[in-house]
Amino acid sequence: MKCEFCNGNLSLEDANCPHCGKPNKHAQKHVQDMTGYAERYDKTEQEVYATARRFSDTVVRAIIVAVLVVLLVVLLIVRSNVFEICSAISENQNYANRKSHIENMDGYLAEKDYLGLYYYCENNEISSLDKGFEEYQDIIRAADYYCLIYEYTMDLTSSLAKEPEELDEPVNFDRLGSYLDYFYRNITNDEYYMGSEESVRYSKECIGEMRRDVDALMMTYCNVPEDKIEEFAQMSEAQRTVFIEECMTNER
Amino acid sequence: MKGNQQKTVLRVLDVTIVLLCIAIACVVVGIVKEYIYDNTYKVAGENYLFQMRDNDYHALVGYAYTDSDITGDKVEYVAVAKYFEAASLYKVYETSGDTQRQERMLVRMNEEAGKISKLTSEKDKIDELLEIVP
Repeated sequence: MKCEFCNGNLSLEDANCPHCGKPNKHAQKHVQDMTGYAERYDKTEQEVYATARRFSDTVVRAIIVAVLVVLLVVLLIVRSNVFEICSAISENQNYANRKSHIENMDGYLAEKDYLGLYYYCENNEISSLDKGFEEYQDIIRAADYYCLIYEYTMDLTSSLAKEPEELDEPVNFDRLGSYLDYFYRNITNDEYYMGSEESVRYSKECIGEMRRDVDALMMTYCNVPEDKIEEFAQMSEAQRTVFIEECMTNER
Repeated sequence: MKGNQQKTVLRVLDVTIVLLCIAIACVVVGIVKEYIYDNTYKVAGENYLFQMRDNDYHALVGYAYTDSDITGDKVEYVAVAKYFEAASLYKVYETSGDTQRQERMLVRMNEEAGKISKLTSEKDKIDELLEIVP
């Protein structure tokens, strides 16, 4: 560009003409413009940074919220299934420790302590359906019923020893009749026994001993006569329930 | 205007995070409580006394086997339960003529009777109920 005073050559950055020394109007305007641009640039830059910061803060928080929501849903699912999860954990633990459990269970069976066996399984959450205990499933189930028969027999014994006005509800013989029915009906049925030939033989031997105890329990506390015990085991559930009621209330 | 909106969004998100944290903490406490309840079964001393008062000693047997906290007075309650169990089975083995197990139950009865001091009357009531001749 040219100086308007001396027509000498000028650049936009020259505040004064290098030839005549007069002020360069375009340079002043240029400096003004550049200062304005710089200010606008700084302002825009700050705005961009502030928006970006807010956006990233929002994104980070949104991600945290999303993660927490997922975590909450997972925890709610876990909470509604705590029982199943605990059962699965204990089943796996029992499977891992099955050797020592089986040793202890064999110890109870050797001692013919069927209540002890039942509560050992109960406390360790060993069920007849658990993996690793298939060979003992018949015995575990029979021990469950043995314990129920013992409990209800003793319940009836203590109820009948009370005065009628001391009882909260009438004496009920049905439950004992039904547990006895399950016990007698299943243990004499070959289809009840599962597993290898050896385990079936062992189960039959142990459950046979259990049966002798149940017979003795019936003779002792339900007053079933010794000569009727075989017939008693063959009775239907209803016949057996009536028979127990008659024997225990001395109607027979 | 836009900045204010963004600030409001941030505040809402902060509050949501706090609420979610509180909800998670509550659920975790619930899970831990249920896990502990599922893995430890404690019977209150009153329950033993309640069954003893009604002479329902058979109910004590189950408590004695499953209670994971047998301390204090409950030691004696459990002795009563074990005495009842041994005494009831003693009679059963007497009927079946299983002298070996009958002897074993007698030993257990004597052991448990030795642990009973304040509740001797309960032991006597058990003997009477089961017709045990001392």
